[in-house]
Amino acid sequence: MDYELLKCPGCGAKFPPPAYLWGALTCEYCGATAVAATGGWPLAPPPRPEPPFAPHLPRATVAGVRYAVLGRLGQGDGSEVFLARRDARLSERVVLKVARAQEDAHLVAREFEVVGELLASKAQGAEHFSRLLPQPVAQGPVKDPEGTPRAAAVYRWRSGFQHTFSEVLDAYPTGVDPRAAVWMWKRVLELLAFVHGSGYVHGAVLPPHLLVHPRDHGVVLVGWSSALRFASRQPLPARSQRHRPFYPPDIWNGAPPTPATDLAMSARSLVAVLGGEPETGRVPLSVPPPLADLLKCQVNPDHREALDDSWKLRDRLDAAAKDAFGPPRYTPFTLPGWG
Amino acid sequence: MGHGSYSYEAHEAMTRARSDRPVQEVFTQVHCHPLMDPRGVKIRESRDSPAHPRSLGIVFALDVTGSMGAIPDLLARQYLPTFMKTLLDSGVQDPQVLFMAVGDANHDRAPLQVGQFESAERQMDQWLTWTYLEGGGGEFGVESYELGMYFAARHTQMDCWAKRQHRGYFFMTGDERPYPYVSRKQIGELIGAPLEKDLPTEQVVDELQRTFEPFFLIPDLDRLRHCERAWRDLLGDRVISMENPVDTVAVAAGLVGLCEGVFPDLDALVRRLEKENMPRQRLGAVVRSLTPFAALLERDGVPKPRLSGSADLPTGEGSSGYGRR
Repeated sequence: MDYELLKCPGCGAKFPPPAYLWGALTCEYCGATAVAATGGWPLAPPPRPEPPFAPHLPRATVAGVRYAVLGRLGQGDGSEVFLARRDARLSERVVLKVARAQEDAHLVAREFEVVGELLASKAQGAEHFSRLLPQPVAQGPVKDPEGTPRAAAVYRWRSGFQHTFSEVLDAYPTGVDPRAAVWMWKRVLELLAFVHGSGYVHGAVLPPHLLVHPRDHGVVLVGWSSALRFASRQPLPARSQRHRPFYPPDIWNGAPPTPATDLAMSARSLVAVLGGEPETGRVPLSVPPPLADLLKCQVNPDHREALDDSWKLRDRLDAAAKDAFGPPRYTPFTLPGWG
Repeated sequence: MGHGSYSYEAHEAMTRARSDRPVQEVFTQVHCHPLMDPRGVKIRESRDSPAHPRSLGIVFALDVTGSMGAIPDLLARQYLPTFMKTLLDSGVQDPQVLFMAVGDANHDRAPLQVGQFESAERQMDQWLTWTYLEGGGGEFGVESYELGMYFAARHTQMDCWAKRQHRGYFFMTGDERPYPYVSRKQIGELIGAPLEKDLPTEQVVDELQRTFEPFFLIPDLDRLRHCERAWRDLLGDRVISMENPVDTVAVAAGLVGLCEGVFPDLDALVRRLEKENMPRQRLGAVVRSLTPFAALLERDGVPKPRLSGSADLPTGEGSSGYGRR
């Protein structure tokens, strides 16, 4: 590279040796502004890297992008979930999901794929519901300076959705207010209606996969690695041992999941968060009978009154809630830490 | 540039007077205005002056291709005064706004138009309405956004950065992806400045963010799918997915407010917008658009996520909790 000797056009003073030039330079002596002219200044070397964000944090690289790992959000059956941010000033807050056991590596990749397919779905309400799905960022083996590569996927962080149903139960050991349970179940059913309308079942509607936004009365689903097209009549690719009571019994015998399976599992999760027994659908006496009855017949897909259509179930839930509490009204719901 | 003082009342009256006129009467240019032609422009300056001792450079780079022309129009006929007022009310003393228009360098006649940094409503408005809304655009889902970023990165100088190390703001609106390289040939033709070789767009973004806080605003959710990821790879959570182009100004002002610390969190912004009588639905949309960026700053108004101590990644040798057939 040829360097031209640079002199200030105002006073003739020499400019410092070519550093990075921003199209213009101010003379230290006379204050004149000099600008690169045609054929003028040499191409600058790439700018110096900026100081890293929080250098003490561990780093992990997925698909060629380095992330600073802020901490662990939780542990699932097959993976561990971390909060991270891209290691750059123009950063992105993400969730990093890493398979714990080699044998579950394919589930992480599978989830990424299914979420991508659902995001491309054109089913009714896609514009709204696609925002409630995890937002994929990247996928591939995670590399840190040492150790074996492990399967990982990166999703965007969703502000406020940070408490699972399991943690809600920790905060309300005797069960949540049944009014709150109603909006929670409604949100789950609406999302499931979209998922079923797109041809998929979630297959793992379990307390640790349901995230609540207490202020905005929102609920989203994570843990999509068991999701599959129900028309394929395949059995679930994985089932959580720890959460056996949340699955309808025939699923454990290898029966293919249907939309009714998701609805039964959502009802069982709701029973749990109300402080009841998921397997039988028995709930505490504080739950008004119309709601208790609906949950009880819905926990088992073989019950003669059980519904297999999410929208219909939502309508029936509306009716039950009206019976129990009168017309819908906003009821505040809080969790520890939320003002 | 940057002389004259800003009057919200005058600006408001000016925009109100033409709020009912058709777009062709507001934007009358039929080709690039000679003063907005970037050819031969060395630098655009945002300088302090006795009247404006704490200038802050703000660049609006507006996509003026077919589908995006609504935003310049909305600014000119309704919302720009609101933006200025919000900034002034939130303690940004001397905002200086530069308008830039971006199109497609391979197809359009005026792919890059550049105004000047201005403090007074009349000049600001002049540059905005001198913009030629060509209404063309690229073919393959790409447009020459990188040219606008290149110009801001290398051809602007701001006292807020030079004297106070305070970054200016760069807002770009658009609904397509940028080209992967700034073309040496296009820069030669459009600006007339020599460039030794093509520059990767990542490098341009890196240079831009040293003096600016850059943001990319996508006008509605329909247009997210094919361009959002590409922009997020460049700008991360500074890609703002709006629900309606009408919110451009509220979102931009909110971003400045969050970065400047005027709004300690989103709740404070909500209170502010409520005071301005923004309808509930729009308020919700603005907050949803800003939430990811606010979360990055930890100003999203929700408790910090609970993290367990160890951030060690699993080794891959642990056991699976899944039951298999």
